[in-house]
Formats: sequence, structure tokens, C-alpha cells
Amino acid sequence: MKKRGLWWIFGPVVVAFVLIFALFLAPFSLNHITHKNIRNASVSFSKNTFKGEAIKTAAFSDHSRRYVPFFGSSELLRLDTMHPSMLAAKYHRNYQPFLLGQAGTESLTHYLGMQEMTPALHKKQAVFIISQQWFTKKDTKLFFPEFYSPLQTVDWLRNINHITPTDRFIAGRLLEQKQIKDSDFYATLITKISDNKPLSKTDINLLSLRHRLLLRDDQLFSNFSRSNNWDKRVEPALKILPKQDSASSLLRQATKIGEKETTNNDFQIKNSFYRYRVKMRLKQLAQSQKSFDYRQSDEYADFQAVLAEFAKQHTDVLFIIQPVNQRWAHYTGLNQDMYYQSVDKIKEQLTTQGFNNIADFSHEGNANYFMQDTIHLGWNGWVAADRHINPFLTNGYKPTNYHINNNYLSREWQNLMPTSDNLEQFK
Amino acid sequence: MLNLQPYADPKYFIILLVALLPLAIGLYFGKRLNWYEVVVSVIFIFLMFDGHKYHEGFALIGYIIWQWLLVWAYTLYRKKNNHAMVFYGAVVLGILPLVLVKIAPGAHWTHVTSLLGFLGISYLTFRSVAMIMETRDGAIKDFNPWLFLRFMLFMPTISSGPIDRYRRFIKDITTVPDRTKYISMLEKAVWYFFLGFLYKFIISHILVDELLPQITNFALQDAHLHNGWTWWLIPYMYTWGLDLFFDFAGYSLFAVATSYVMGIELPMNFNKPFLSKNLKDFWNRWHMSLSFWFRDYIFMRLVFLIMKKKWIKNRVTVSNIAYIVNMLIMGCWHGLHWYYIAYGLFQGVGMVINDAWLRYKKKHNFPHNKFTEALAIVITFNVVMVSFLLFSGFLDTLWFK
Amino acid sequence: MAVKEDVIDILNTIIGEDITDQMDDDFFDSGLLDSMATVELLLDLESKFDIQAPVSEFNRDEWNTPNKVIAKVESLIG
Repeated sequence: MKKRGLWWIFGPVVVAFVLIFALFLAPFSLNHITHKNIRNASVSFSKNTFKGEAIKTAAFSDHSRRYVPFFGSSELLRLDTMHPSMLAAKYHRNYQPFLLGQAGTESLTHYLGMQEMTPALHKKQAVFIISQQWFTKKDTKLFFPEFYSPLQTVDWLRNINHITPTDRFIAGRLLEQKQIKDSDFYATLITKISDNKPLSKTDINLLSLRHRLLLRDDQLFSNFSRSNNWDKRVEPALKILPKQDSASSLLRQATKIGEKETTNNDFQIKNSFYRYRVKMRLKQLAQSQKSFDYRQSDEYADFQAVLAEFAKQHTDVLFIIQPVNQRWAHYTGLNQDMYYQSVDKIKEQLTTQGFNNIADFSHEGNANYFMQDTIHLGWNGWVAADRHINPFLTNGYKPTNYHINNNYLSREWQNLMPTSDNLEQFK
Repeated sequence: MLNLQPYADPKYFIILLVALLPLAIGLYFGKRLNWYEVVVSVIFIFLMFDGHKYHEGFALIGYIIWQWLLVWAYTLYRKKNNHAMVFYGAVVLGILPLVLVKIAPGAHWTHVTSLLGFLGISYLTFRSVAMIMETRDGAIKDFNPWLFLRFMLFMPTISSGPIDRYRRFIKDITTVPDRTKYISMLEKAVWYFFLGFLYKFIISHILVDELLPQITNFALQDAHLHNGWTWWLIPYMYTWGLDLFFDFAGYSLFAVATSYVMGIELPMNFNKPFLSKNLKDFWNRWHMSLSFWFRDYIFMRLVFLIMKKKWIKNRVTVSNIAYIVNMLIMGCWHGLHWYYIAYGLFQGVGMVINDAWLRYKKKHNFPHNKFTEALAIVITFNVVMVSFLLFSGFLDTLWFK
Repeated sequence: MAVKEDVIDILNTIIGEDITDQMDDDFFDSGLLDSMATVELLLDLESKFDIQAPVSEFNRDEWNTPNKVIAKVESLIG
């Protein structure tokens, strides 16, 4: 009776553990990702998709459709009619954007995200949309915890063959984050990288075990947040886009929609955005951006890490520099000289290292219906972007010739107050 | 360096249960392996406070020596004499470290925090102050330095309770449960561990990591436009309030389950609190070891004092004052922020209203059926949730940050 | 015998109803006695029987029915 008693208590526990181990360590995949899942994920902005690996791997190895990563931030969320995802779908282009990013994603987050999709970057193409608003002096990593993914950290550590200055830089950055500091496992390994000590065999084995657990976790649970953006946003747009894929008819249509949707204010801000986000505080917002400064920021070094990764993977990248809504910038007192200096600083960083595919729209902030609201590309802006994106992606991969300068990781560059002279002098 | 925070992740449970296995086998065969238990407890406490938390470890050692000397000295004194002032002095000295730690953040005494503060200080204070009070009452007659340490430093509950009582605890720790009893304790332990997993690692995880950040963002954005008010406060209130329960009840279940494995019948902390029919009922079901502590050592003693000295005659007034004082102290104990104090006041006034209503109901023979009972539960639940919204401090973020 | 009647008397006054038909019912469970009333009970017993019944001694499991209270008081007197 008594022996039986113990078995009745602990038997189910033992069975549960056996089942859990079987589930996590089974060597085969447990979920099936359909083309439709991938299509929905490409415009879902789901955090699980962003942090995870399963869906991305499936998307970038899909043979029926060529998914191209579009890295960016909140502008990607502006799924209006002329958005790159709509245009590619409507005109059956030979690519389809897979949108990676949302409000709060910046270079460090993207750098880690790239670690779990290196096959998608290796000798392939990508589009990277830059916002000057990332390059603030303080609190640049405010949203980091929201997008932090242990799986990506493991991928990064596993990708390190020999430790580069970029790896040491990233290690230092990660060690500043609470999520890393609080985890002995990661903190120990990353400290090694930061100290330029290679990982041991045991470390690597532990990492691959952890990778397996996290990947299974990702496969099992990342599908939970389903998105209906494709049906709700993309499909309707496909119906109203012009039949012919011509820049001029797209621009006409974009202008028409832009006019119709920006009627309640003088800033050419979309009505709904103005009503909910601006109108109430309009008075307070006047001159509110006077002291904004994008010229000195650790974000420049994070961005350099992204460039180094592109160079490592020989990725053929198109960079898009977003403007700010000039009417709004004028009202809020954003310093124009400061803004253009920060743009120059980024362009310098790009071109000196051989990243020459740049669509610089920084001077278009005044163009009609170019911006959907204060800082995000909209109708005509997307059409203008398409004039760069379409040929770039349609013509396919071109071999790259990047030469990375690690000095762009330095404090000196982060804090350099850009003038045309000292930008040129920086080596 | 390895640092183990109690019940934080699967690793902790595996290490804990492996470490406790010899102890459990011993208990199963009718032997309590005291020395083994002490060594395991010391190692786990060390791993809790090592690495970058070393200063908390030193604070803990200093604190234990302080309380040890204090309780010992008071017990020696009480054998000869019984002056009220000495008793009050001992209580004040007992709570002094806690009071300093609670004042420190507001007063910006960072050195006090790093010198005296450690995770679990308030729960240890409850234990030692209760001992002083019971010694005064003559319920505890002798000071046993060794049992005192085992009571204070009982590993499963060191960081956040449940708050045990000395006399109850030593009865358990100095005996061995018989085999049938111990098997039934193990059975409960397994059940509590898994219920705790469900509460803390599934439900609380969904509430806090999946839902709360979204709701917080919406609430902050919307409140920005509407002078600090937003409908998003409502989902915030329920999500945060429910999480408070699932997180803390989950933790408490782990502590109780662990101590059952160690052959100690620690009191439970929660008893389906959201089925309470009124606020008084709620406090008999919510964080029970804390609310019973406050009931026995503050409320009842205060009432006893007021009535015995005949300061106030009217018993309703006495209980109302005692309720408010009791709840205000509980509020302050959480920390000296306006929202904790407001929470205490809210609960105190709530208890006064609740009591008045119960008297009215008794007098007027109010109808009582399934429907009124359900209504009472719904009302109580929502009143509690509003109090938790205050308690969350989110209003502070929303209005003053 | 007098102790029993006196205790019942005290309990009846505090609770406000006749408890002679529920001598073994738990009055904490039934909600008849709350902490406030408990203190009153202790004070009344103290003055009536001249016994020391401090709050610490008051263990809810030993004082939860009228019969147990009577037994407890008798032991304290004795």
C-alpha cells in the first residue's frame, strides 16, 4: 500500500518530465508553416515573429516566393495603399517584403535579429530604412527589453568564429542591459567575448542545447499571435491600386488619397493621427522639439555593427533615409541644420565604407503627401521609395565591395559633432 | 558566480529538490537529518545573497545578530521583570532596522539601504517582533538560541513568507511526522508545486509579459491626451490585480510545498480570495499569514489595550479606529509612498464601511440567497481590484511622473 | 457548573443571540465571533473569573466553540 502510495504521487511527475524532455529534444519539427502563414507574418509586426527564428527561416527559404527582409521601425507599420508590401503583391514583382521592425526597433535590436537569419542575408539583398529619431543622445535603448530575444543572443554567440571588434562592442552593449546582467549564463559567456577570450567547448555545447530548447519554444509558441493585416490591410489596397505598374499613375493615385486623408490640419498629417495624437496637445507641442539633437549618439556605433554584419554576409543593401515632415518640424522648432548634419554623418559613415545604395529623402519633407504624419513615410513618399526599391530588388543581387572601418564603433565617432570638415577628416 | 533567486526558474527547482532528497528520504524513514538540513539551508541562503548581492548578505548577518541579541536580552529581562516601557523599547528596537530601510528611499539615504537592506527583511521582522510580544505575554518562556536561528532563517520562506509562528514552527521542527502523515504532505507538496507552476509560470507570465506591456502603453498614450484619465485603466486594473494574486499565490505555494517536503506544515497564504463575500472575508483569505499577523499582533492588541484602559467606551468606535490604524500600518509597511498609504486608508475605511453594513444587515434581517451572495462576491472583487490599482502605483506613474 | 453558565452568559451578550443550541459549532467559521468580539470575550472572562488570558494564549483552534471556551476557562481557573 505504502509503496503504491509513493508511486501514485510521483509517477505522474516522472511521466510529465519524460514527456517534456521528449517534446523539447525531439529532433524533428513539430509545426507546419504554410505559405499563407508566411505571407501573414510578413506584414504582422508580431513581436514573436520578430524575436523568433522559425517563421523567418521558413520565409527566407520559401522557394515559391522571394521574401526580402525590410529592416526599419515605425514607418513600416504605415500599411497604406502605396506601402512596398502592397506594390510588390499587386504587380507580382519578383520579390515580397518581409517587414522586420516596428515602433522602438533600432540598430542594436536589428543587429541581434540578423544573427538568426544569416542565410537570408548571405549574398542576398535587403532594404534598410533609417530614422534620424533613433540617434538621440539619451535613452536610445529604452525599448530594447521589449524586443530582446535570448534565442538571438544564443545565435549571435554561436556565430562567433573569431572575436571581432564588432563582437566585443556588442558584448559591451549587451552587458549594459538588465536582461543580460540578470542571467548568469549569458553574462558569463558575453563577458568572455568582451574580454576577447574564446568560448570553450563546454560553452558551445551548452549553447547548442539552449538553442534547441529556445528554438522549440519558438516553434511551439510563436504562432500564437495571429495577424489579419494581410486580409484587412493588404487585400483592400490591392483592389484600389492602378492596374498598370507605372510611377506616374501611382503618384497620381497617391496624391489623391493623400489629399483626401489630410483634411483636418495644415501639416498634411493623416486625419486620424492628428485627431488622436496631436490635436489635444497642439499648443504644448509648439516649439517642443527645439532641443532635439541627433548628432551625438551611441546609436551611430550600433548602426556600425549592423553595417559590419552586412559586410560580413556580403549583403547587397539599399538604405533609405527618411525625411521629417517639414511643416511639422517648423511648428515644433526642430533645428534644420542639426537634422541635416546628422544625415550627413550617417551618409559619411555609409559611403566611406562602400555602402553606396542610398535613397536619401531627407530633403523631401516638404513635398506634398510625402509623409503620412510627423516622421513617417506615407503615400507619395512610398511611391518615391518604390522608384529605388523596385529596380534595386528586381535587378537582383550585385556583388558587394565593402571595407569596414572599426573606428566607427568608437566613442569618438559617437560623439563627433558633425561639420563637413571633421566628417572628412575622420579616419 | 552562481546566484540562485528562490523559485525563479526551472534550474532552481531541480537543484532544490535534489538537495532536499536525502532529507525527504530521512523523514520517510522517521529520521530528521537536522545537520544536513542546516547545511543545505545555509548554502541556499548563501547562494541567494552572493555575487553582486553580497552587501545584502552582510546586512542579513548583521540583522540576525541584532535580533538574536535583542530577543535573548528581552527574554532574560522578562524572567525577572515586566515593565511596559521595556517591552515597548524592545519592540521599537526590533522594528528599527525595518523602519530605517523603509524611510531610506524617500529620504535618499542610499548608504542606509545598502548597509541594512536585504530581500526579506520585513518578513524576518514579523517573526522576531511576534516572538517579543509572545514572550511578554508569557507564551514563550525560554530563549533557545539554536531554535531561534532555525526559525528566523527557515530557508523556504526567508525572502517573502508565509509568516510562520515560533511556537507552531518549533513543534514541527523538533518532531518527525509519521509515515502516513508525511506521505500525505508529499502528495500536497507535489500538487502545490504544480499549481504554483500554473499560477506563476503560465498565468502570471501571460498577464505580465504578454498583456500588461501593451495595456500600459495604451494607457500611458491615451492618458497623455485626457489629463491623466483613460479607459485603459480598467483593463490595467484587472490585469495587474489578477497578476498580483497569481504571482504571489504561486510563490507562496512553492514555499509551502518546499517546507512540506522538509516536514514542516507551513500555514497557507491564500484561500480563494476572489470568492470573498465581503472585505473582512477577503482579509481572511488574502495573504493570510500577513493579515493574521496584523490581526493578532496589532488589531487585537490595540483593541485590547483601548478597552482595558477604557480610553474609549463605544465598541464600534474602538473597532473603527483599530481597523484604520491596522490597515494604515500595513500600507506603510509596503513602503512610504503615497499610493501604499492611500491603499491602507482605502482598506481601513473599507473595513469600517463593511462592518457598518454587516451590523445593518443583521439588524434589518436582510434577504439572503444565492443571488445576493453572488452579488456580494462581485462587489467585493471589484472593490479589491480598485484598491489594487491604487496599490500598483500606476496612478503615480500616470499622474506624477 | 457556575463557570459554564457564566461563560454562556458572556458569549450570549457578545454574540447577541442564544448559543446554547450550538455548543460545538465553530463560531469563527460561522462568523458569529470576529477579532473584535474575541477581545471583548477575553476581557470579560478576565474580569469575571480573574484569570490571565493574554492575546498570545488565544489559539483559535482551542477557543473556537462554546464548549472549548468553557473547558479552557475551567483549566485556567484550576
